[in-house]
Amino acid sequence: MQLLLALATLLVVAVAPCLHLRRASRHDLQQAALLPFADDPEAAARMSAATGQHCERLFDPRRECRLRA
Amino acid sequence: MSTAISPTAYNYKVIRQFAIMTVVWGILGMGMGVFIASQLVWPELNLGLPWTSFGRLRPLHTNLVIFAFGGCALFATSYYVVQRTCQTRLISDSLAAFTFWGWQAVIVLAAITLPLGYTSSKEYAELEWPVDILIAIVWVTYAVVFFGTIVKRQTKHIYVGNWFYGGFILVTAMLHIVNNLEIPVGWFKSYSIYSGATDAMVQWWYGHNAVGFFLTTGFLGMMYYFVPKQAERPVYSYRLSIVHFWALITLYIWAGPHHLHYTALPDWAQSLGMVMSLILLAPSWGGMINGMMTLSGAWHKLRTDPILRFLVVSLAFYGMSTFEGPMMAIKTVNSLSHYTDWTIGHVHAGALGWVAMISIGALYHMIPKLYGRERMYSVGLINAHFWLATIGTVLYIASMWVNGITQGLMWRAVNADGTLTYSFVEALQASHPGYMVRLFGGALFASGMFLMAGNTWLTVRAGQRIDRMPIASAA
Repeated sequence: MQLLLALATLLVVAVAPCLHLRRASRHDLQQAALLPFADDPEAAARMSAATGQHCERLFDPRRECRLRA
Repeated sequence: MSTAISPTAYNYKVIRQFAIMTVVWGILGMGMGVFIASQLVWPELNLGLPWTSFGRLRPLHTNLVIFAFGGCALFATSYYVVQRTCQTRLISDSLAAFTFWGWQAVIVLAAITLPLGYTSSKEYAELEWPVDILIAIVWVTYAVVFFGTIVKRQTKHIYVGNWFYGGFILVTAMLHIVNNLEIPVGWFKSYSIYSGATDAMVQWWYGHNAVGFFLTTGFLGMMYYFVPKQAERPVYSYRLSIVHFWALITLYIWAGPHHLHYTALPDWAQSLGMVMSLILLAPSWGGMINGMMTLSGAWHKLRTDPILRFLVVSLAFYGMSTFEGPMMAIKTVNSLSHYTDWTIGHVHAGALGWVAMISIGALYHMIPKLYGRERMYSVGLINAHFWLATIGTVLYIASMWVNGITQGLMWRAVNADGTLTYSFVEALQASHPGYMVRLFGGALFASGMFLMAGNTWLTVRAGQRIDRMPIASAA
């Protein structure tokens, strides 16, 4: 019983990340990692200057506010 | 201050409320810790009253620092991170407001009932059944707000920080409900539906995972947003962060039995807990290294940025305590460490060094943005706070290591005729200097929170002036 439980746990550890990542390309993962910068154009610009990586879709909540107000 | 500037603006009102209360509860909770540490140095401070005795105030301290300080930090940062990484407003402002007022009500009820002696006697789950029901309602509402916001996200991907927050919210709900299944016998008294070794196992399944999910997984969600953002570098390996998430949540849930070594719990369960605790070192250090390596190319920022210092040093303490934990879970080590002050030192390496320091770093990052300021009012005060917190933590844990090993060795020492070499009181006397150092370290840490409160007050006041401009605080 204990052995089965231990094997099930190890199986989840091995399988879950594979399922989670199976449809994500390297490019998708890179863009996902940039999400903390995607709504902060100033920080995104500094990050891009330092790393050469660019958020493809930037969201500016201040600009969004002005447009909709 | 209005947060309803436009339907697309983030809801910052509830985050501000939780952020401010994090500081307030931090001062009260840590202040209570300093007071009960003083009681262990000078027992006269129990004042001869039941309401002010160590036995009643110690659970109040743990509830205030874990659920009030830590809980408010988690609510604040999770609402901030989920909105910003999903690029959408919280699904419901009124439900979010309910989580704020409901959570504060829980804490106030804890502050009233625990000194009065109303307790279920389960560690970290002391609150009696009416408060337990309120906690469950608030927590389910929190889950609705958090996951509802994820569902209406404007981004394709769910950022890894949200996976950690989501895991913490779901598992905490499960732990709370299962461990608090009890039969009420009056308005302020109930008995657990479990008994004997089963009760102990369920309690430490809860207790350990309160650490694993409330105090680790949620704060890792915080780490995966605020470390990259403050360092202005993307997380070192996004793929590793996903593996970290799944490995951590799968393994942590099994480690609880290591709290019950050498008890009536079946031996196989104790061994399982020990082995799972040892395996847990791998994902814990994977995450710690992933966080640290995020600073690749940005280490120089530590010279000038005390907020980043808070975040990175918290990761160092996380690495240290997640190494120490598995070691203490080994049965032979546990036979020396258990029931001694070593455990208290270990807990505070995590609580002060990891949980509090990453929360403080995240708050210093977040508060200026919430109040439309570029930075906190005084960077010098943040720097002073950093050193008070770091020195305070080191003094605390070092004194408890010394005390713990001293106590463990004195308790197990036997004479040639089989009698104990030392009485309990002799071990207590040997611990007294350590208690004084611990009190000093804890007081240093708590005093840093006053600097934070002052700095926050000055930042908020300056921010309110800026806020009179129409949309300045939206981002």
